[in-house]
This record gives sequence, structure tokens and C-alpha cells, in this order.
Amino acid sequence: MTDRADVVVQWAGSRATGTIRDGIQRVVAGIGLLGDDLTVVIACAGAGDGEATESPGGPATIVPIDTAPLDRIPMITALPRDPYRTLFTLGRRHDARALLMLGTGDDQLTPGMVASLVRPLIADAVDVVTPGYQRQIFDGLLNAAVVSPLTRALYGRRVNGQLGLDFGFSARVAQRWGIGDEEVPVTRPVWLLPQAVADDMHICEVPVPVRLPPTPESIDLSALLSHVLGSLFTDLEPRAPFWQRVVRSRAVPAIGRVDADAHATTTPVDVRPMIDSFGLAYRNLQSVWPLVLPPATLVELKRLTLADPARFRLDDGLWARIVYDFALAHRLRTINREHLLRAFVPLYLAWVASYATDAQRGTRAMADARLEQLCQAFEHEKPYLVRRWRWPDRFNP
Amino acid sequence: MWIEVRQALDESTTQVMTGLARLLPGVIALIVAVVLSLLLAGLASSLVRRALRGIDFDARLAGWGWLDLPAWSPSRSPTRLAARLVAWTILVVGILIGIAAFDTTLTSSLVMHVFGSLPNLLTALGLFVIGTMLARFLSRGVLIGAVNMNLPYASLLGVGVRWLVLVLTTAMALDHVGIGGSIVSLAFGILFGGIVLALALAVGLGSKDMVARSLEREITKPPEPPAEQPFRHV
Repeated sequence: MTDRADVVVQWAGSRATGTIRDGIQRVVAGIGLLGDDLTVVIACAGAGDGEATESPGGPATIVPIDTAPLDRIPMITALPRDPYRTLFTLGRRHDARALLMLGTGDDQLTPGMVASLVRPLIADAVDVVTPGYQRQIFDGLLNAAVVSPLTRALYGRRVNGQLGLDFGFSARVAQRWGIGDEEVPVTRPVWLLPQAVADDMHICEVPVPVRLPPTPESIDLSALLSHVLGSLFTDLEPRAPFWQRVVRSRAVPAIGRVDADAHATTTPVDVRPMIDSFGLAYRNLQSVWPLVLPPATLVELKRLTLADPARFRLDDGLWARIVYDFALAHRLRTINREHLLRAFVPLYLAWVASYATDAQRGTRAMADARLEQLCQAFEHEKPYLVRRWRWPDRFNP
Repeated sequence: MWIEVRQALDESTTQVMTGLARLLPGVIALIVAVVLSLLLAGLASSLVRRALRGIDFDARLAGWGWLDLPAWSPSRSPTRLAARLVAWTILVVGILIGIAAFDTTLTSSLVMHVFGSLPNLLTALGLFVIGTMLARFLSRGVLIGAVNMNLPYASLLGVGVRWLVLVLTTAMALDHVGIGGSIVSLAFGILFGGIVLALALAVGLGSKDMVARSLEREITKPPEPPAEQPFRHV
């Protein structure tokens, strides 16, 4: 019979500076901050290679596992050897009270971070803990531009860190997720919050004093957008009956505090290349965008191409409608989905240019306020998506 | 003499009237066949349209990956396209039946000829349809890719790819049907080579200075470390 454990931790982070044993010791130290009597199982790929076969001491058991690498860029199809499925299986096997997926590498992993992610699961009866990473003004732009506002508007929960690597889950989650058909993806970062809301789970956000690493250079922006938005839009279809009923959003509790520098400023950036890319795309994609965007939006975009670069501003409402139109075209397969998502890139660059123009001379707090306005615009324009989703042929302003 | 003239007129009139009388059943049969096939075609078309709408054929077709078919269909509806195909098939069969009432030898040789070349015609049609879809798909992919790479001649590339594929598939289709013989191959070679040469010249001459500057920079300048990118997208 398998031993019972209070906490199951799967560490899938990169090992840049130390050995597996160093990382595992930090995890054990983090759990130790929550109490001496907690038993923990730590699952880690490569743990059986002799480097970490010994337990670092105390109530920790180390389990070698063989899973796919954890990636915060979601894949549309199911992963073989899904790391989240492995975590939930281990959680059920050990009857754990708390499960923790750790994707942060050993260069940033700290015992305090581990403790802050697990504490709400044990002390506050929370089901899903999402990470609120430390972000600079120009960090996580795709999350800020599309993923976070769209998820908030559709599912009614205000959570920032969705394309993350570190999540905590309760025993209740382990009993419900990751069971059944192996072809069904268990968890993708963009899938997690909608599923938690649909399952009526208690969600909280924990500030994590970690800055996410940049995307690997091998992935270009087109591929990145294609993966993230493809996964996000694909997930909208089966959940349409649910999100169409959600009227307004509410904040999720934030547990803990990170001393972020709210006044941090950034150096001015050159947005001209992005504006030029958008202008070039407007001239050349006249056979593609009109298939997706209604005439009123195209008129607004044309006006934008004629604007002075210093006054280049993409209206929040217009941006929300563009995202909704692409989500709808993805559902209707108006054009090939890969082409559709790649045709979104110049529009996204236009948004980045507009945001950067606003945010580069301000503070972090001002940038946050700007993003809050964007989220409100997404909520305000949600009826537009609902109408077009229900009657795509009839409502085309 | 008048008697002979009158007799000749009577005989010719009798011959014409006899001929007309012989043709009349065939004409009536042709009219009846066409009218009946028209009615049948309308009925079948209506039934097919209703049945396909009942199973939401247009949406299912998109789901199966047939994305370009709506653009080639009347009113962007593959259901209407299928209904019209059924209607026209019935109508053509009806006309053939009607013609058979005139002259069985003519009809049988016509039918033999039509059905003999039908496989080649259908294959050529299939080649052309697939080629058209492929041309659209590839040209759109190249266009979007070129735009995302900030190439100023993205439209030119997209159009070039479309015409290359269209010319290739048209030549293949004509060759399959046997129209044109060696002229098609020759014309295709000239046209295809011409398009490639024109594109190469357009790109090569247009970016001659840029390539020269790029090469000069590569030779004279030491490699620079990549500039710090302030934007992190995820």
C-alpha cells in the first residue's frame, strides 16, 4: 500500500545553477516553513539517476517520474505523458491534501515561494492557487493584451497570471481532474481558470517574487500567438453555454504580498517598427482581414494607419472587438485556422505599439491602471461577442 | 408541264410533311423528356437542399477542413452547389433521353463519346478544383508569412505563388484531357519559366542595393551582440 502524504510536489523547473538535490532541498525547506509534521512526496524527472536517490532528510520521499517538459506556452492537442495528469495521479495515490506544480527553475526557486503557494491549500481550503508573477511594464504582453482580459470577461474572475508555470491544487481538484480519456488534455495554463470556475472551485492568487524567463528564441512571435490563441479560442467552443451566462467579473482573493516597485519606470522604446509592420499588413492583407473583421472595424484600422505615429492609439473597445472577431472566425473556420492566427500578428503589434506609447513614460501603477481599463473594455464589449456567436450571419456591423 | 410541276410540288410537300410527321413524336418526346427532367431536377434539388440543410452540411464541411469550397459555391453555400450539381445531372440525362427519341444511332455515338471521355474530363476537373484550392491556400499562407516577415513585396509573392500553381494545374488538366497536345507543354514551359524569371528579376533587381549593402556590412563590421528586447510576450 502506498504511503499517505500531506503534500505532493512535482518539480519540473530547469536546473541551471545546481543539482536536482539542491532544488529538492529548497522544496523541502519550503514545506518545512508550514510545519514540521507535514509529509511530502517530491516527483522529479531524473531523480532516479543517482544524483538524488537519497531523501534530503526528514519526512520527504522522492519519486522519479517520466513526463513531458512543462511549458507555459499551451499546446492545442494533448501532450503524451502530460505532467499535470502525472501530478493528479500521484496526488490521488498518496491521498494528498495539497498538490503543487513547480515550473520555476532552481535559479529563482526559494523556500518562501513554495510555502506561499502551498499555504492557501492547507490553511484556507482553497482549491486552485494561481501565481501572480513579478512583471515589468513590458512583461507578459500577450497575457495582458488577450488572455487575461478575455478570460476575465468571459468567465468572470480577475486573475492576472494565467500563462504561468507554478500552480497549487487541492485534493478536490485531484479527484476531479486528470481522470479518464488520456487524449483529453488535463490542464493547459489557459484551460485551468475556466475549468476551475466551471467546477465552482475556490481560486486565489498568490504573489510570487519571480520574473518569468523570456520565451525561447526558437519560437517566433507568429508561432507563439498561434499556440496561445489557438488553445484559448479552441477552449471557448465547448464552454460557450457557460460563459454566455456570466454577466460581470469579480476579484479573486489575493493571499500574501510582494513588495513590488510600483514606481518602476522603463526606458523609452522605439514603437515605429511595429507601427510600420501594421501599416504594411493593412496594405497587403486586404484579401484576409475583410473575411474576419466587419467593415466598421476596417474603417477604424484605416484611420489608424493614417495617424501620426506619436498619436498612435488603438482604442480599447476596438481591440476587444477585434479579439472577439478573431475568436468567432476561429470557431466558424472562416479561413484556415493557422492562417487566421498568423494574420492576427500585425494587429497584436499595433496593440503593443499603442500600449508601449502609453506606458513607457509612466509608472508600473499607471500601466496597471491602463490594463484595468482594457479589461473593463473587454467586459463592456462582451455582448458583441455573444450576439455574433449566436447569430454570426445576422449581426455583422 | 404544269401537271408535272404540280406533281413535283405535291411529292415534295408529301415528303416534307411525312418527314415532319416522323419527327413530331421525337420532338414531342424531347419536349416531354426535358419538361419531366426539369421537374425532376427541381424536386431532387429541393430534396437535396433540405436534407443537407437538415444536417447542417455547410458547417460540417468547414469542420472537415473544406474551407475554400464556400468561396466557389453560389451564395457561399456548398449545399446550393450540391443541389445544383444534382439538378444539372438530371437535366443532362433528360436531354440525352430526349435526343435518343430522334435518332438512336446519333445518341448512342454521342453517349459513347461523352462517357468515353468522362473519366478524363472528371479527372481534369478534379485537378483544376484541387489546384485552385491549393493556389488559394498557398498564396494566402505565403502572403501572411511575408507580411509577418515585413517583406514589402508580400502581395507580389502571394500573387506569384497563386499564378504558378494555377498555371501548373491548368496545364496538367489540359494535358489530361488531351487538348492542345505538345503546344500546352511548350506554352506551360514558357509561361512557368517566364513567371519564375520575372519574379527573380523583380526581387533581384529591386533588392540589388540592399544585398550589396548587407554583404558589405557583413564583411566590414564585426558581429554585434543582439539588442536587448524590452518586450516579453508571455
